[in-house]
Amino acid sequence: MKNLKLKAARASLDLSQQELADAVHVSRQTINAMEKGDYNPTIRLCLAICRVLGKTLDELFWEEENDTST
Amino acid sequence: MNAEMWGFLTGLVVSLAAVCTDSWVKRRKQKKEGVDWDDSFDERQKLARGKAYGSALFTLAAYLVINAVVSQAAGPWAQPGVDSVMGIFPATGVFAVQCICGDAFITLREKPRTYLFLFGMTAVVQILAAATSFHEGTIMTDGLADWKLLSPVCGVLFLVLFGAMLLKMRRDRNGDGEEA
Repeated sequence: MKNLKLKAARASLDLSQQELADAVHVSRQTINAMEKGDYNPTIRLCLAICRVLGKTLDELFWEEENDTST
Repeated sequence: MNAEMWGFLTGLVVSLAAVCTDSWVKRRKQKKEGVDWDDSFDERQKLARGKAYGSALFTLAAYLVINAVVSQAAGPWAQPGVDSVMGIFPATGVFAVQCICGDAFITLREKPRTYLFLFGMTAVVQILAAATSFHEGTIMTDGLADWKLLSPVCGVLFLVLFGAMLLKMRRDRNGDGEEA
């Protein structure tokens, strides 16, 4: 399932995938894989991303049952 | 021990010394910059490398079984030791290609171009060494593959890695799903 919330939060801060990746010490491909839904990050990485984007875990990673962002 | 074996042994020792020195220099540099050694690969890369290690182990096991069956059925095809050592190449190839395709071969700080150059150079050197051996007719001894057969096989391996890295770099340059 694509993580459109993450992508939207990143875009709202005008950050590229590379810039976000550098901020949380991962590769750009890892951020890309998370946004495409190909990789489920650990809680540690989720928290690091939340801190950089100024969002909560719920706002970025909680999936509602009727979430249709596939 | 003959001169040829001394040559192999020297090559082995020099290669190991080069790898150890490179590792030591990198570790020292990272310590100086205050970077944790484990930060070299991110969590997704570590996971991908773990899977690649599994595939490489399976490849090595499969090679050893097939080699044993073939050697039993048709008799030995290589000098003692050569056939076993040969198994390192397909296993390494599977590991490296899987890592390259999964963006898990190089660390966050390394540049793919360095590896492209290294792979290309190694392939050229090994193929040149193989060409010399073919010219001298020393690839086979008494109808059995000699240690010198490792050079062309190694050359082919690094040629494959060179191609995989080149394709990966081209794919990355073309975007690879980067969506601002």
